[in-house]
Amino acid sequence: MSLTRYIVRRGIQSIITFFIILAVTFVIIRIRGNPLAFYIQNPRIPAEVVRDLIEEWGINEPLHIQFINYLLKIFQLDLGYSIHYRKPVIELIATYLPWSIWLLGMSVTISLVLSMIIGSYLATRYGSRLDRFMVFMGLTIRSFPVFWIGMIILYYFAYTLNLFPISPTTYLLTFPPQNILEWITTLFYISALPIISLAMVHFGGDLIIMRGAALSVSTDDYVVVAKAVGFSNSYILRKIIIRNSVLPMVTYASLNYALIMSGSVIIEAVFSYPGVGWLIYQAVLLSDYFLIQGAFLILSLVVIVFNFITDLIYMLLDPRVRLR
Amino acid sequence: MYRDLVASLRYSIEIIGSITVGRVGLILLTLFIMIGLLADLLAPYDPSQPVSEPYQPPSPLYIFGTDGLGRDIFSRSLYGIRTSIIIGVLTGLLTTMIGLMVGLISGYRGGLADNISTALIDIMLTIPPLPLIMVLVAILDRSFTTVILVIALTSWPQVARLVRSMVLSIREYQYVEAARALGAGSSRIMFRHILPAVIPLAISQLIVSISYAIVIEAGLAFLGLRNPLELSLGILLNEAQTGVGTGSAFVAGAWWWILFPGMLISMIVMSFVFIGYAVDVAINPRLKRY
Repeated sequence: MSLTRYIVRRGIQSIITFFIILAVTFVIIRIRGNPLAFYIQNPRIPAEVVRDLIEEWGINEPLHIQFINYLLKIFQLDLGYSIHYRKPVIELIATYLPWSIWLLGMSVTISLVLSMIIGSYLATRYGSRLDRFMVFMGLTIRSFPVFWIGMIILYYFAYTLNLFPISPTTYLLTFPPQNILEWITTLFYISALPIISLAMVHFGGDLIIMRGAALSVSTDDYVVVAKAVGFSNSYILRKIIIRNSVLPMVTYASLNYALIMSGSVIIEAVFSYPGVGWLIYQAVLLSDYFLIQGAFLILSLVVIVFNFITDLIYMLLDPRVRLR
Repeated sequence: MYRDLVASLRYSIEIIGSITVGRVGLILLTLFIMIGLLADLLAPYDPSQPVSEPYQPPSPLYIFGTDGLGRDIFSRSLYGIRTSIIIGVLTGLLTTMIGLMVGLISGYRGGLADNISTALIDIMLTIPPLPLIMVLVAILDRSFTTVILVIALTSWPQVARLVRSMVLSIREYQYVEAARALGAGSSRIMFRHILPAVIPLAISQLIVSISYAIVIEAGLAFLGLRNPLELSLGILLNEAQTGVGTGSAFVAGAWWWILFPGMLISMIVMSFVFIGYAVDVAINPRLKRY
């Protein structure tokens, strides 16, 4: 199959998936009937705001008309209005999404790189004391609830040592960065702890998978041949084992984006980190339905896009996929 | 069928026990189940009443210290262990059952049913589970049953996918073909001939599902999306994060309020992870046992 045909096919699959998620979200938001009923009772929300929303989203219309209306709205990038933040949802997402992508991207990258180096090294020292210890550590870290690791790191580094801000969202509001340099320092300053916490949790699982992948590669014939030919161990490790273990790692990563996203949502909640996870958490607590809907759609979309990109990378790394 | 299950369970426990990591896991798990069952007897204080000054650090009287209302964290943790294990096991069983059935039927029957369930599985695996569960729990309610149902209904696809791919290969084995040639009906083949071969995988998936459910329940409770009266370990951490009418554990410097409940969750999950690792070693002979 040609490259473009493969890309197109995967693209269409992703779009269908997103459509179904759109429908699922539509249903979920309406399980309990009128999603705006909660607002109508709330005296803090001006009645005309609710009336406008009902009018605009056609909440009193029959369901199929509501659904068409909903799809049209979404495709015009109108995700509704957040009652709590008093802003259009799309605006909120535009400001919060980059933070989430940064958190996800950095933590996944750090964990993958570290586990690739350490995991393949462990495979060469298979069965040694170090190997056993690291497997034990990996399994242990993997058992820790993400938010608990986050809480401990927050407690120690932000509260006890005062090295990092205790609330990134508040910090960002009180000290808005003025120039590029300040932006970069602020970025690292407020995201360091969440990134470290998430990377730690990913590392536990990634290490075990990478070690397993490297182990099965290292018994393959071409590695035996390379050893027989007399290549040095470090050469075999760097040039053969790591490279061939990357594929299973990529598969593993692509199967896990949905789970990784879950971890990042909860870490954002622990640190009050200004990402979409924090938004959806606030929205759920405050029953801010349009924000729930918008944030949920965006989180799913991010997973779909990441999956798509991973598949493309996989295809570039492994030409056999294209032939299938 | 029932006898098969018991026999394979006993066999699994034997194999798991023969691997050090698995033995540690089994011992830990038995310990936690006992604690969960006997929480009423073991708890030194009433978990819901203040028994001392707030924020007392760990001492011989209050071994895990006290929280912001002066309640004994150790007693509260014991009841929390009970909730975590009950929810974990029930959810895990439900998840595995659904996944097993869907995987079995779609793998064996093929055709339209298979196409639909495979598509469903693929889509459900792209939806981030925690946000979905958060939204569902917030919109429905926060009760015990809802949480179990919601977690199970969002996490079976993982199991179904693995079971399906295993059934696909077992279906082609000669003994299955022989049964078919002898005129066995498809439900007989599915339950009598294929199911027993899938049981080891199902057990390993049961363990994964239980530990997953425990972590998710703890996460929901931590986010304040559980009924605070059904004391669970996550609720203790939620109270530590937000404070209960008083300052949070962070502000009060009450590290014990964070450390102990989380450590218990980790240890429960760890016991399952260790058992799961041993099961994997037993199933996959390529990994060495230790």
